[in-house]
Amino acid sequence: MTAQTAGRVASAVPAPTSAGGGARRRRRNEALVAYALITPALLAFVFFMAIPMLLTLVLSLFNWTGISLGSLDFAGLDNYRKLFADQQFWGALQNNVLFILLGMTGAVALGMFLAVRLERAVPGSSFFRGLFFMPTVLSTVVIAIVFTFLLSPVFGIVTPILKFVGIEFKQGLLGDPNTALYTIIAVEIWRAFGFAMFLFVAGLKGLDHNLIEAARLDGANDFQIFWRITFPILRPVTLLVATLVGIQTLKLFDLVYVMTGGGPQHASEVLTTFSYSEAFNYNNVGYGSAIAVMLLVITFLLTILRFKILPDSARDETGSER
Amino acid sequence: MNRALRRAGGNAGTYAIFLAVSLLVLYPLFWMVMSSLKTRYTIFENPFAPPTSLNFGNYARALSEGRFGLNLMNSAIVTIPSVVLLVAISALAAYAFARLRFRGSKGLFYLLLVGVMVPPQAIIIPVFQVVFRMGLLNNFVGLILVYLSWSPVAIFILTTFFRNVPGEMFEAAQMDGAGIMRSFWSIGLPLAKPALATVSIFYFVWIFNDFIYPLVLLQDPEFATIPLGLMQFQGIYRVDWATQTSALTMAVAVPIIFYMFFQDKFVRGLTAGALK
Repeated sequence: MTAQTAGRVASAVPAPTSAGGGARRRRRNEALVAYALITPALLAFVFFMAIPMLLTLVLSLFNWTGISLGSLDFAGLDNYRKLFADQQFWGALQNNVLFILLGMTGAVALGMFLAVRLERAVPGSSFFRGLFFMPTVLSTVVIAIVFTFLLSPVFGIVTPILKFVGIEFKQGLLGDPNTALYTIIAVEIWRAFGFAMFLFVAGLKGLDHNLIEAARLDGANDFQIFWRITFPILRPVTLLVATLVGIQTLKLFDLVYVMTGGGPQHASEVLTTFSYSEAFNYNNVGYGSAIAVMLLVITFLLTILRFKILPDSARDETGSER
Repeated sequence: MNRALRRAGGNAGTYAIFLAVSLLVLYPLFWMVMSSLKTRYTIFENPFAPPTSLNFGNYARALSEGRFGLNLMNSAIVTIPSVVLLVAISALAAYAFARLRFRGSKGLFYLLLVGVMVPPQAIIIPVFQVVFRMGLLNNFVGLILVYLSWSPVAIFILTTFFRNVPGEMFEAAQMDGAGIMRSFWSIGLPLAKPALATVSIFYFVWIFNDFIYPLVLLQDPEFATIPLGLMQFQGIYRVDWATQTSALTMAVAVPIIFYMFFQDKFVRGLTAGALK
């Protein structure tokens, strides 16, 4: 395909280029074409991303029900004052932090562990690799509903299993304020570990098998090999995966919204669901926006962190993908 | 001898781990399919038991009462044009950024890059307001327009791609008298096919499974896409697990079948999309 195109181009007879002022005209023409090419993408971006981002900031300074524009009531920093005094906000933020830390640790640990095992290339390992990635492709809403069924206190399968090992939760794991959040985190790990695993698999491509073989002959055990040879290779990838999964987890909305709606008693509330319910269920558009601003700020901080830690990794990875 | 034995032992351990994880991944889905074939009542007897008879009637009910057919059609109406248009406008913009010289090129590119970071969940309140004020609430056009703002990821990936194409190929075409658009169309696009496929799959999965934007922008159940329909269905038929699991099974069948055929492209698309 590529060779064909190249051949056709190469065999063509070069046309004589026009001399003189043509060059400037061509350059101006080039710029005009460029603007035309960018315009559609830029318009959609400006209207539905850039302006909304600024509006989130603006709306957070108002008290508003979101319906009549005439009822916009400037409130200054009141929403933020209220926010920082709001127990529910700190609760949601704490849940987000727990979510990020535990979800990230779980997905990274399981992903790395499996990637290292897959590296041995036993027969069938590509099948397993494909299987482990599959949850990433599925709709989070489907995952949420299926797990809600499985976790149902009366008819699900988790309750009898827990009972078998002697643990009993009357309201089920999702109905108990002490376990709801952790249960959703576990489901998120179920969903995300395959994604982390694949990034580690890519990161392990540089592994030197002769080195491992030699270490093994010298009597190194599996743990020593992992710690001294494999892990140092994976360290940059680990940081990358951790921040990526962290940002992904921060944005999480579907699982919480469908499985618990943030309950019971806000026990599993996160910033996304908190912001959503303030704005769309209670018509506190300004307050909901202030929460969303917090979400934006944290995302930007995490993104900056990711580029600070690994300035070039993203480019290298996507470059080598192709 | 000793080493071979130890390796065999290691492999057995590896397989044991793989099988255990496979069970964890597959059992929820297996349970879902199994339940979708039970009757509405036997489903509540023993959750582990296989169905006593195959009740495909659940699927018929999910399609009619559950309106799964309608949801599937709505999802297609939203997803297909969104992905096609997104990839088209991103390819055009990426080509301009990668191969054409114009004032403000760098600034505009970095402006768009900001969009890669913005979580859609954090701007949903004003997006609702913008779409509402445009009169496009409960309208597929509104939702599709919003999805078109997700182009920065693709623009970033495709710009990198077009930059890596050897410049001589385009210069040769220009010598041949081809204009900018001609060389984009006859050289840039054909070369970019694998990258375009990667980006398309990334967007397909993202948009097909998206929940929060349809939730906010398509509040009329008549317009519900699959994730939204499943959610509303769960609310209405809280006790009819058989019909619900049928709908869920059909909902995951689409992406899983695609995934089975284009596994490599999915993996590349989803990881590249996340890495940007």
